[in-house]
Amino acid sequence: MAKTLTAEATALDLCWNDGHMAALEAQWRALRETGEEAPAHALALNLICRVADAADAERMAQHLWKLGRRHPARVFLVYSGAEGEADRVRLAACADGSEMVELQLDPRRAASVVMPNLAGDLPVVLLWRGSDPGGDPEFPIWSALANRVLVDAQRLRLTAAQVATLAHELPVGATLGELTWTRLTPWRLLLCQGLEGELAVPEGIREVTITAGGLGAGGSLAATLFTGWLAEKLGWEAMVVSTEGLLCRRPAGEPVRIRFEPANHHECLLRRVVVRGATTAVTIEHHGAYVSMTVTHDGATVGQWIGSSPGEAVLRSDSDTLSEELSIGGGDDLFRRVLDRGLELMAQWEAPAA
Amino acid sequence: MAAAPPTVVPAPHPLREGIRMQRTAPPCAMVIFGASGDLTHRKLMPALYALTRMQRLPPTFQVIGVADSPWSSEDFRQEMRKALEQFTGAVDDALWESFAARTQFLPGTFDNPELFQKLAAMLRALPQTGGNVLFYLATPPSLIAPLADQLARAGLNQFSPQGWTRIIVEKPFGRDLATARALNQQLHKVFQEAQIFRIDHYLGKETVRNIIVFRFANGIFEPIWNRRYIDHVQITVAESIGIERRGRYYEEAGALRDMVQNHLMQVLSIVGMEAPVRFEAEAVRDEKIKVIRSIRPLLPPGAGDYSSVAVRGQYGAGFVNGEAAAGYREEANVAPQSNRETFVALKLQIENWRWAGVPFYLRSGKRLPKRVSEVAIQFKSPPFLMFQDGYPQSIEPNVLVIRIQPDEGIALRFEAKVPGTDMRLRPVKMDFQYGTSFGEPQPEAYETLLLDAMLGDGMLFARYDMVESAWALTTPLLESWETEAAKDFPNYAAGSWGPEAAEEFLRRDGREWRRP
Repeated sequence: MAKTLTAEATALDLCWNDGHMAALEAQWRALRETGEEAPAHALALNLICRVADAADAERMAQHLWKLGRRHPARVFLVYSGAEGEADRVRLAACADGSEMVELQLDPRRAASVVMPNLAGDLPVVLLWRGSDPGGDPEFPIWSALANRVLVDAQRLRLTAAQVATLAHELPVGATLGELTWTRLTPWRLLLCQGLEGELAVPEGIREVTITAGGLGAGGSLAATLFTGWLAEKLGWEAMVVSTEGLLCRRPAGEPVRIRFEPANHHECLLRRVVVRGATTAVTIEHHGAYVSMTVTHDGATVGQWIGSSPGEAVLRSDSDTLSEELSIGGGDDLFRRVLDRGLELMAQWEAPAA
Repeated sequence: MAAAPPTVVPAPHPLREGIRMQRTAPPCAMVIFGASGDLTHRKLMPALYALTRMQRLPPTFQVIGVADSPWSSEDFRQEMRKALEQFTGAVDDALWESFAARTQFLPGTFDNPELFQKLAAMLRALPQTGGNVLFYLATPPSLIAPLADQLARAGLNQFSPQGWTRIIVEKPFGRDLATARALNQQLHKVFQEAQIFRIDHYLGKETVRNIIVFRFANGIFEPIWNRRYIDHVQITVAESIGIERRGRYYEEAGALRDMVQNHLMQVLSIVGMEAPVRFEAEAVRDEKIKVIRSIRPLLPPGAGDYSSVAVRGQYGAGFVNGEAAAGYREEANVAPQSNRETFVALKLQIENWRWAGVPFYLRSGKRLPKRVSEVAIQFKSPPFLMFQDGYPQSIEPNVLVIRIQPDEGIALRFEAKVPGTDMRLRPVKMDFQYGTSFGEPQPEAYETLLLDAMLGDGMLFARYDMVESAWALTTPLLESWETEAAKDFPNYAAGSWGPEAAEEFLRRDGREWRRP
């Protein structure tokens, strides 16, 4: 395992003039270049991670060290100290991954440290783990530095409408990534792998049942995005809205039904998706630690996949989910379209459900 | 028997578009001929298991192993489970059970038509594969053509009009131009070229693929990637191991057939090709074949002395990594007076506007000091060395090294000033290493290539014309070496960088081999 070097920047009094900045940089460079323990390596991005507190910083540091193997980054872990706590800067470099700076500072001072120390010519990603960004005066400070802003709506308890507002209000040039959508990638992929026989063509799909937590109580973002994705990609338009779901019209005019079933789960995650044709059905289900996929034809099982590994793939760790978002260079246009489409459809559905 | 009609590939499902993890195989069955063999144990099953673990195969994916072994399907599963434990380490029980439930075995000899009727029946009983079948011939080369014939007789060269049928053929693909042509003709009688995937595992290596990215996703290298700036190119594939119980095979093959005609030519074609118009199989393969066709024949017709363009060697006893190593002629199943080469060095000239006058030096050998594969691009020296007058010193030319294995990465050597009041220069190396920059393990070549074949992506597979052109270039040299015994064999000690003649070969051109 790669050795991690850390050092307390105790000699710095945190008055950010040129001389002190040079001292900080020298210390950093020394960490990075200390012989065989931290050989020079390529960096791929800057990652500013606004964490909730010191404990969250510790948690994220573990994720981000792991991610450094795939996304070597200059990471800034930023948070405000508790009342009366001294300001603190800690540096760390990892031989086979990222460089990390932990800043326990007033956010305005922290931004002035981060800005000159961003690795040049590399994209800047902001991972926001503070409070609701819509009402946080600190959010614009950090988002102004970023090319890409990542939020986890589930963690921040944001509704689909709030996410959409956030996406529209970001500074010009910055794009939004949302981790609930990222968590749907494997569900979407599994579904595509199960689309066989009559379901292999869009016209073969007659009914979709989405079971998710949080349905009807402020709206499940996961269900909204999944519905939006189907409608966006397959050209479905809502015709009739009932408490059970939506009766949609396909481009050629035939009906297709989307049913919603609330799951007994407090988190707004998908629990089960069933896609049915006339004779074929594919069911993806999350139960306990596992995810299974079953393909049936005329009621008989023709393909089944049960195992911990597919489960791991679908119930991905926070690191894996974040890793997918960090792989994206520019914006995710599909996410924006799916979000808008999902909001449009689900807004119609939520009213009768309420 | 008619050649299979072209496969109609349906348009991708709209839901698949835009999914970031979209390189997943469609429903299909993979039939492995030679399923009891070493390749299946060591490479194919570990690759399929890894693809399953990575969620790259669909839940309806099926494997049918075929071999002349008295195994039941359960025996086959147990054998494959043991192979996975041996070659991949820990096996996830739940995942294995899920995979094993879709694995069957069909015993029989490949010359028995009944075997293929049974196979067809087994495939028909798997409608969930959508009629898609991938045949993998993990068999000796002599069985390729007969197997293709048997498949066609049973109607398996296009199993289902609704699905695709593909066939993967292992190297060596022929043993010279005539045999390669004959084999291509035999295969083309029953399969369309688009159905045939000639595998060269070297092309599945991550760094080989990265050469394409390095060259064509960066704007700074392509303008200097030509005769104006490049002095010469060296491609080295060195192995520290000997022939390892493969004496019988190696006596038939030799380094030129085993490495140069396929691996090195493929690498050369990627280094030397023009930018493809699109990143797709035919566009890339079109450009690669142009490079091979542009290579000047080693000698004009009728000329007999290849020493100015080729060197052959055979290792004698020596020491490798501190261990005593026997000479080639002392290895098992090798003739005491064997004339077979274990080392080859070639000088090739690509005759086109980009490369005219830039020699490509290729070398490959066994029992060299270390295992290393790399491409070294040596740039021309500055036109005028102004530092020479006051401070006489040598200046090393810039070298860009693309390391294929081990320590995959890219390094650039350039001159820098030594700190101090004097103007002293020294070469320094700027090094990008996959291992430290991207710490994740790279996929095995077979994982990449199997998935590509299932997806119908032939970019990393050799097309018939590529194989034939490479043989056309090397066959005259092969014939010359096989008719004229090397008088100085063995001519290099195990653990050295090859025969002295190879060093002299470059010295004559005023150059020297890199020490990797």
